[in-house]
Amino acid sequence: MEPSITLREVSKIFPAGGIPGQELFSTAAQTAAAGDKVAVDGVSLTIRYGERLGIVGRNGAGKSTLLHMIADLSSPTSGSIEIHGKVTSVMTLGVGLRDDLSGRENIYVDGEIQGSARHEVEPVIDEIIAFADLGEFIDYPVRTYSTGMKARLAFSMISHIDPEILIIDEALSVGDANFSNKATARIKEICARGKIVILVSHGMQSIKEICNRCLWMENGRVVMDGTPEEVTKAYIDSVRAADEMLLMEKFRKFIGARSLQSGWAVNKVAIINGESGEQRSLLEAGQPTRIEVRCATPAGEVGPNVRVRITRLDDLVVFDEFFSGDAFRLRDQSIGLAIEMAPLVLGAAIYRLDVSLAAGINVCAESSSIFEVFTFNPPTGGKPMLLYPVNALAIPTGLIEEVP
Amino acid sequence: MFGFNKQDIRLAFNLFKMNVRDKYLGSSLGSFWAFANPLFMLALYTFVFGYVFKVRLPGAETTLSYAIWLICGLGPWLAMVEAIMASTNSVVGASGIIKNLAFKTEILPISAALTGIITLVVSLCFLFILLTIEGNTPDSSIVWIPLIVVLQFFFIVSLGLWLSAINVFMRDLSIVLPNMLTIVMFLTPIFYPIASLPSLVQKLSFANPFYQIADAYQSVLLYHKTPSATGMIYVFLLSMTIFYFGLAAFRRAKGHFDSAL
Repeated sequence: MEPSITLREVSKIFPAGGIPGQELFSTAAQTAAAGDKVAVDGVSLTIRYGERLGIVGRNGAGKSTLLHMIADLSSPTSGSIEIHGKVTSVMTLGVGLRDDLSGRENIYVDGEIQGSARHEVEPVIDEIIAFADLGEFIDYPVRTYSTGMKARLAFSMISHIDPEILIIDEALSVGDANFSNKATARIKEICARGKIVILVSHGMQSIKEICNRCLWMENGRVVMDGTPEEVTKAYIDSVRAADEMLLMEKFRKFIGARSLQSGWAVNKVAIINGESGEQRSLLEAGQPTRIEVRCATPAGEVGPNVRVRITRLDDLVVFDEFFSGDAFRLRDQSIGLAIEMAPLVLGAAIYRLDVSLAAGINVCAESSSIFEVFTFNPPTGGKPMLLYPVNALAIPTGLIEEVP
Repeated sequence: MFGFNKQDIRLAFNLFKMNVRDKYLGSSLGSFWAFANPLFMLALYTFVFGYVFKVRLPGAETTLSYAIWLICGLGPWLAMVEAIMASTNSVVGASGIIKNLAFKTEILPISAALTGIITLVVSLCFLFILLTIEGNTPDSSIVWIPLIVVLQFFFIVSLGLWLSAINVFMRDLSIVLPNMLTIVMFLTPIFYPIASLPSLVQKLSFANPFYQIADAYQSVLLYHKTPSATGMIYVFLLSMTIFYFGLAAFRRAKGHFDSAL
């Protein structure tokens, strides 16, 4: 029979009250009481031969609980799980490591915990030791190892598994950069051999590279099931929208537009980030970015100037430029200008964008907004590569199209 | 049998080896303590009851004969206490592997209970030496010893299934258990002959499986008799019942260990 996994209405409830361990004495099925934590809520799912399933979701969405139940590390409160095939699960690395034993002895002990006899470990032990690449340390007690070395040894112990159904929970990056690459490559290799793979990860990249199907879980339910590209995109967008809401909430006091003299107004400040052309307040570094500004002055006013200033929240001024308003008059006599930053060179932080409109030195209208820059690969280690201040590539682009 | 297969038995054996190793690994004298500890305990009890309190058995004049009689009951008892405690803490102590490896967790209390066998073997060896010194060399009736050992550990395993599972949800158990066991020890005729009890309590003591086990060792080793058949059958049936329901309860509860570990 081909390996397959079928889940029917699987729920897992962590009781908040009640008698602990009542399952020992009663065979009655449990139901959720008030205050109980419903970790997984009625999930039905079929995973067929050849599927490599990625699961994404926020912390506490029930991903790991679901994985534990599929791996038979805990049982569902209700519902059924039917599995054909032999399940190998990798949840946490290095649980069984014993400090007093040498690395080599630990490999045997690990085999013993898995229920293998010594002669079954013999054929793969050289392979494991070679993969761990610990040199003479392999014969030293594990207590003399650094954290990274322990992680390498622990990962190597699983590196030779040949799974039918493989379940992995966030075990992808270990050790230094060099070993981490080797480990990721090996994981991909193992996944490619596995007939069914289920992977929980916060790394969207590894999900896209390894999986061919993706689930998005939220509050114990599956909210989306589709190709990794679709689901990871929808998930990231949703996370971003929620984070933007939080950001706005937190810095509400900085945000707002006001007009100090009648007829003067900063009507629009919009930040457009990414290829989709959407207006955002959470910006991805490196993406093409444009700040659009629209202002109004009383009719016939000559020589207004527009000041655009970007300040990091710790008061570091990153960008501060004056533009002559008359150069950017639109047909309806309002002022419109766009500042292009392609790509966005700001580092990950929260910034404040102030636009002020002035006649001479008198500020007549102003507007403030907040945006945050994030990056998927923040720079690590070493000296800064760029000189400060960054000569931001900001060119007024003159007339812009009429946008409602 | 009982839903266990060959691989589970191998895992139980591996875990047993690991338990023994863990217990004596960290100390510099290692396995020396496996032997020294029970001997020390036996010597201490013998000294206190034989020399300080000068307990005498009817018909046995020497202190040595009292010591032998005492160790017959006390040696197996110390092994049982150790096994029960190890078994009770086995599931909580293995939370790391329980959360990471799918296996029959009911193997944990079983293999932990078996660690008591070391203490038992040490006290039996010590006992044989004392018996030889006294001139009461064991005869062919010692063929019953393996049967008693098996029954004794079957009984402990059946208790261990309950205790280890309850301990997951109520950790207090492992704290009060040593005191409870001390109470049981003094209720069981181990330090004193059963004849010194009032007749009603004597009758009740026959229902005490710990007494039945101690009595079986004494019958075989001291008096070269077959152990009491009713006693042995009673211990077997009692263990069987506790084991059967304990295994079922453990299997119901084990899927919920993760919420308490």
